[in-house]
Amino acid sequence: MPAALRILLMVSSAGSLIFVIRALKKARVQLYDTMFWIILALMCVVLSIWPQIAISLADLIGVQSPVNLVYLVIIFFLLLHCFTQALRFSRLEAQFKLYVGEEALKKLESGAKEEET
Amino acid sequence: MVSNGDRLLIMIPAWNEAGNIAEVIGRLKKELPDTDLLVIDDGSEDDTAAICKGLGVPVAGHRVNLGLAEAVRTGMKYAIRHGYAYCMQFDADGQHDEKSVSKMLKTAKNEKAGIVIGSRFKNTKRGFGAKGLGSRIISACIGISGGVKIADPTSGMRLFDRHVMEKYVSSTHFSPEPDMLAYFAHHKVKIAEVQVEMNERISGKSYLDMTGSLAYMFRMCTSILVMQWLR
Repeated sequence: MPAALRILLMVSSAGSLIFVIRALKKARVQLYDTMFWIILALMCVVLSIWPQIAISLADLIGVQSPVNLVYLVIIFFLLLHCFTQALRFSRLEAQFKLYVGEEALKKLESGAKEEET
Repeated sequence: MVSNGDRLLIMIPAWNEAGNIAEVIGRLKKELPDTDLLVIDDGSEDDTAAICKGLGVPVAGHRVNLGLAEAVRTGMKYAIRHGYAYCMQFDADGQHDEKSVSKMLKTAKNEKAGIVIGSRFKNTKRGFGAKGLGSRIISACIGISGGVKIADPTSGMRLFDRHVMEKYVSSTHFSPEPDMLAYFAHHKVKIAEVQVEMNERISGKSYLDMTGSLAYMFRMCTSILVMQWLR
């Protein structure tokens, strides 16, 4: 791999790691939610420093081009992440709807009681 | 808890229906003075809730707009907790005919039906326009999956018995759409239809345009034919 490309990869992956960490600190999200992004950014840094890892792994498994293996792994993780997010989102929506509905009924009941007394 | 024996609760989901709701409630009260009403105000930004309260109708108000499925769920929860044996979904826009309500309730009691549909096409034939065609396709899907013939699956005028209400509120999968009919038909709940007249809306316009209708059709057919087996 040409030196210029490697340096570009290193700088951009290190940059994205810093970006992720800073954004996470500022946004004050929950620890577990940050883990996925930190690990992903770390993986990119490691790969840009030691691309040999991807090359030997591809060789070992029998994938012709190392870059295909990298894509495959990243896409797999992204899809997995997407799916767990969808589950969480759906659960959150259900909880939210339940809460709003119950609140509406509670308000109605307490209003009716006030009128009686 | 007040016992409401074998009584009916008419629930009216309303979202920004200030222009129609007073007339709809007025008609219902005139036709059915002894039947209880409940308006579910689904996060309206106009005076819908205030108008209903002014008319002495109880209002369960969602703080934000959650959509029809949740409005119906809230109404059913109210009906269950107050011991109603039946509840009915009645549109706030004036399309549904209040004169058909008692006929539907009678059918539910006599035929022991879990769901009674206020049907536009029980005795009159459907057209072959886009609407009629869509309706036929959905009917066919329900026929395949639920094994019953339903002439007007998309009618929003439906009466439910207590068993159906309890099932509906127990799961977030249900919405007051044709796929629900397929589910209950498949689970051996009797579905009856009563011929009704539908009015034109008093004011405002329907929310389904061409692309909306296509998306709706796709969602319904997939839900009825595929998702049905995953519930």
